[in-house]
Amino acid sequence: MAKLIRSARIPGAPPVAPAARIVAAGIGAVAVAALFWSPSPAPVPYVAAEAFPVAIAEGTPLVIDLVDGATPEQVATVSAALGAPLMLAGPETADAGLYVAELPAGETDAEAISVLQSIGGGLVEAAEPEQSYAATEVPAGPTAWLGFPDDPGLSAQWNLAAIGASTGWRAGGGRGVVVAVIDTGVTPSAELKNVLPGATFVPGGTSSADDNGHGTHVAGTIAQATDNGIGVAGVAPNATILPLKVLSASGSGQTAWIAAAIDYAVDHGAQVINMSLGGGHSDVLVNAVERARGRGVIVVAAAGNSGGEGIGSPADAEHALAVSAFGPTGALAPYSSWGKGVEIAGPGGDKTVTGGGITQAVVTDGKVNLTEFQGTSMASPHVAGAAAVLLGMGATPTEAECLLLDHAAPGPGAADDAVKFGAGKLDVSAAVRTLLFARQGLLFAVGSAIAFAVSLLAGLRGWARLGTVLSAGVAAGGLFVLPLLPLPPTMLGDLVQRPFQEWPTASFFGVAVAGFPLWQSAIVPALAVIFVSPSRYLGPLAVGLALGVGTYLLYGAATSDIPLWLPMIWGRTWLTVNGTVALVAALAGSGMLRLRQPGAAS
Amino acid sequence: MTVRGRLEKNRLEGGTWVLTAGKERFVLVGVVPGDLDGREVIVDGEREEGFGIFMQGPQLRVTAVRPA
Repeated sequence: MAKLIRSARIPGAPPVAPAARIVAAGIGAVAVAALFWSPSPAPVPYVAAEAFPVAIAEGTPLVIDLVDGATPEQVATVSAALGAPLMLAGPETADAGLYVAELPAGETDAEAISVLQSIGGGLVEAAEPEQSYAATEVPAGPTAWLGFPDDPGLSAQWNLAAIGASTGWRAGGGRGVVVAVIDTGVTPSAELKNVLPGATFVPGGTSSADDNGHGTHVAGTIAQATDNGIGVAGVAPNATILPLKVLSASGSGQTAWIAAAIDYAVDHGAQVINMSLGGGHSDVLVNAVERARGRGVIVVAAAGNSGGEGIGSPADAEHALAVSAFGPTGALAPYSSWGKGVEIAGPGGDKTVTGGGITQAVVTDGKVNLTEFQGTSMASPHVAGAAAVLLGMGATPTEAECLLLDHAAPGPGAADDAVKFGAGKLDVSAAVRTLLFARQGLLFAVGSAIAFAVSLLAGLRGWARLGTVLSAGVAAGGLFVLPLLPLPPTMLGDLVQRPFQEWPTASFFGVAVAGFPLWQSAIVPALAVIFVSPSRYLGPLAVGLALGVGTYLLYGAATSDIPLWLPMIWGRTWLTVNGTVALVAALAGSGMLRLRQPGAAS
Repeated sequence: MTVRGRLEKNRLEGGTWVLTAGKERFVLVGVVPGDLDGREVIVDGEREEGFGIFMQGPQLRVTAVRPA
């Protein structure tokens, strides 16, 4: 499947495959546009009808591609030779020289094409029978619930619906996570607000502003301002972008600039790096990627746009998440590179389908414009944004990678799915749901169970028992089901869906602060028990808080899931001691509660 | 270097020009006349082995493009 064999499959989470339906549609402008813009090799002039995969009936109109800017006299020449008037194929096709001709009765397409071939001077560049194209219906964007999100362009973002982005929005949306975008730079705007100053590595450059548009588009896919009443949405709207400019206005750059930017990103707090760029194999880049991953940074890179097998650097680094691209039908995009190194596929767009590109905001001449791009460059930031969402929820880098890969939606089911889609198609919703249940749901259940056992042991009854059990479950695992409900995300919701120990870190100061040892300690619950447990109504909650925190800290000691600013052995010791202290405090508090219960003293 | 091939406008990554010369494909960097789309052309330029957003092949920094 992939360069890495990642373990730790977490059960659950049925994948959500994007709807992919084919409907019949007319020809006209769609056919002309498809001919004109086809990304496949250039059309061969005078293609015979039988060369087409679709049977063409005799007597169908001919579409004729004259030399660009053909004069009326030249059009008349062709018309006379053909014995039929030439009509513009569309309202704006005169400059492109695209015409349609209805053949006289009895004349076959083959005969007409033969006539056109005889016209010299390069006047007729191509001619072929009109044919119907099966137009693809682009799936709709995500559904807005209770007015969230209110971005007017949301309905065009089939890509966000395809990956189940809305679950990620309600699960924090990558709050507190820094994503480095190593690209052509990023220009902040009303549609892209969470942007750090960044740096430029292009010689002569003075800022990380984008002079191409590519980097801003990529950054928008990750962290486009969402629910702001304008434009479109992003995968992880609360993530923070660290723009690192390594590509010039032409979209090209050098190995050393990119390698330096990778190291810079790691040194400046990036937890995810997105590189929507590529080239030939480079040991220097591969080493830089491995250094970054070795320091706990998830590296995501575009697989490439060759349309064939083989991926270049930096995507070919062993620990980079190489991303291929699929279009709105769910099929591999025709331009996408593929091969054994592909780890996962993301929506990259397919502009041969109307509306099939990836729409994000780009700043041009100081104005924000919504622009459709396509490429594996567009697929990669979907994965980077998804990684940010998971990290923001408290997943470790390895855990986040495993969740993304293990819960990717299956490809079309072809024999070569593994080399074209890697683990499958990105499914943010499945990964988020799995993390919620496997981590927070587990903590909620264990915290509640411990609280119930302690309550029984202490002889607590009524509100004392109920309040303690509820408080312990919420403190340990948070209201973990909240992101699964179709509610607009709020700061309060973001708080209470998390374990108590993650409140100030992920929501206000960023996940990097989560490892502050004094916060990952028994101090707060112990103080709560000391000062609040005498209260008949608040006491059970304080005891439950201590039980929940104790559960959380001991879980962290057992799994190393809690990042801590201490070496591994000291960190585990710290969590074990503090978790135990919190439980002891809870036992003491529950004893005090028992003493206050009616009849306890008798 | 001078390369002869078919010039094609490509809509990947915001749009670029691609020159297909036999089995080799170049991404053109620089100014390319729009009216040569789909034509056989001769391109003078300098091959660059760097990295970029187009990821379709080596880049050719264009100094001149003319019809073949």
